Amino acid sequence: MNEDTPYLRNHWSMVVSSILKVLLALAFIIVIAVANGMPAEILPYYALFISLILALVVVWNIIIWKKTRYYFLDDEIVVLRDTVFRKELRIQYERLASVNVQRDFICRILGTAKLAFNLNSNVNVSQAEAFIVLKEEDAEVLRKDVYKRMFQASNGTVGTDDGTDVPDTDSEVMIQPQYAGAGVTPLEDAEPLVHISTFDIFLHSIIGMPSIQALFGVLMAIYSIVTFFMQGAISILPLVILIAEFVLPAVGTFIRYYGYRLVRVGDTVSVSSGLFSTRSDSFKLSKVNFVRVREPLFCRLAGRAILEAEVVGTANENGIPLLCPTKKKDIVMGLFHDLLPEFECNEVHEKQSKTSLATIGLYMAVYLSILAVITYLISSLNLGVWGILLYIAVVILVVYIAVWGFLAYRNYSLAMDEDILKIVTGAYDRSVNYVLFDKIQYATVRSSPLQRRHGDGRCKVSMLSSRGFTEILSGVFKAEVLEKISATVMARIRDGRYDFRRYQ
Amino acid sequence: MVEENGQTVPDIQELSDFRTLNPLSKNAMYLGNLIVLAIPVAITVALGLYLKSYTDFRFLAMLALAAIVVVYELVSPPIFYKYYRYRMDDDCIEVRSGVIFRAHTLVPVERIHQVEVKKGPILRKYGLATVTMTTAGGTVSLEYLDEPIAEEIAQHLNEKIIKMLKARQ
Repeated sequence: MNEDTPYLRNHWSMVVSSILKVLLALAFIIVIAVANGMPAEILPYYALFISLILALVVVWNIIIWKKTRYYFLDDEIVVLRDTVFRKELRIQYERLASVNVQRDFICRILGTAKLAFNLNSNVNVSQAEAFIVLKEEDAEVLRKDVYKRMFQASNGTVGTDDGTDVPDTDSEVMIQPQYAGAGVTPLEDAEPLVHISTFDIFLHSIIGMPSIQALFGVLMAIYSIVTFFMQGAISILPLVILIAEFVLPAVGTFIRYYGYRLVRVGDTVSVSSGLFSTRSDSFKLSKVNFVRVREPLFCRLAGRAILEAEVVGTANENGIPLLCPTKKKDIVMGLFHDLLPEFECNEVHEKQSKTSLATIGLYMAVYLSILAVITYLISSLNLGVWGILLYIAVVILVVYIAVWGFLAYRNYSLAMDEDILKIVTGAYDRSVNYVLFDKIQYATVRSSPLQRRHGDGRCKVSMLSSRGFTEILSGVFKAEVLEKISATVMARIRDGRYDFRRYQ
Repeated sequence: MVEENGQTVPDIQELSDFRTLNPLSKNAMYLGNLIVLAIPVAITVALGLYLKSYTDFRFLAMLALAAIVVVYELVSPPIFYKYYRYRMDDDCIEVRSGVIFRAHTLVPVERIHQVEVKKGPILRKYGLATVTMTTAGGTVSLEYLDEPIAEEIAQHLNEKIIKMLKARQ
């Protein structure tokens, strides 16, 4: 890399976007100051101070924009920032876990896109290792180019020249077309692995949320309607709760996953979606940390399921990396088998130990006690006809807690073969987690005094996830069975079955 | 065994069998717990002074809570000491710990990214230290170790990590 090496620079809209954010913050400060009755004689100095800050922000952002260069070399991406402190960041293509294209509102107005490069590390889960803002078409071309280099780095093969060379419109924007010849289908031409309709996304946004949240939303809606007809006015609080806890998350999910598309080329998967802000994630299947088939209560009642895969850099605002929104369960499982067969585990499930009933019973006792105290406190108020509604709600909640206890005992199970650990968790909202032993960072077996007496315990499996790190807590099983998890992880490392190169 | 600053430091091979903590660790725990105890006790006293009644339901509830915390903090150090075990061999670290709930954690050395030796003022007073190992899935600590042992473990792990990274390159 020398002075003649071609490089890229961020689109100027990045400067505008940064200045706009600071402007908004400054405007807020000014409004607060004026609202608090700032004396008139101080106002000019205050305005001068604010202008000075703004000028500094503008100059600093222009310097950063001017002095930050992106080199896309044969083996690595080099980000060079030569401001007051020189910073040089090198990212080898083979270390990349995923590449995202994000387009927020400003990007859509200015016709740009933000390309984020994510590594498989817990340091980079909440923020990309590096990102670059380019014109939309340039970003797409660069994404394809980086994807092909990732593909080449992992497979040692060469992809096609499918017209992905960046147009040489700017002397600084130069990426050499390097992949001529052989046949790899470009991601955007690939057939979607599963057809997701707008109706599927609509259903996903409602029944894909945790059942307690959906149930709460429905209860609030019923309460609002009943009060409207009984009192001729809508109660504000339940309406606010309904909007904040149910409507907004559902609308947000719908907007986020609208136009969902999942394609696969070779060992690379690309997921794209979005109504206003679009986002496209590309990642290698070897970077998947674990797979989860999620079945919230209403999903299960409709015979549907959701497929999620943990890949660093692909979490959305809700922290849910999605491979398939809610679809019929056989379609989801078919996709799972086609896409990630190495995560399948067909071993017989280990059922929970009887001592788990003590833990579940304890939780139920706590929930029922809280419910009893709240009911006692509310019933002491003069509720009139609302008292009947209260008792109906109490009966529903008692049934809900009782069924929760039954499902919590029945659902939790465990299975493992020599490669995969399968942990089923959840009561109303069942999750089946498929974890490669090679991706487990460490495991802890815990036991309460009662569990110890019966040789039982619970296992907490710690892994890297798209939200930092994640832990899966198993149900109550024989401690000797749970100890096999750590033993298998160690055995695979010791006898060489674990090979870090497989996951690079 | 190696002599270091008048203290006996075991070879790394000697750590492959489960070891208990130094009895001084109980004193460090008591001292640390005293600071924790000060908070509920202060809240209870303040609440009593504010309510000006020692028979008020709220005061009695706070007193009961503070009493539970005091009993736990006083009883827990010897139990923690009694059941705490750790061992380390060439490729893994095992820790058994807990007072009411007991845990057995096994960390493969291969998964460790970073090793840190922490010595707060209380631990320093008793010549103790904590080794914190960071993996991509979270952190695991070896607590209340003798300072030379902690340093020895950290050094050994760091050497292993560097060797592993070099081999991968």
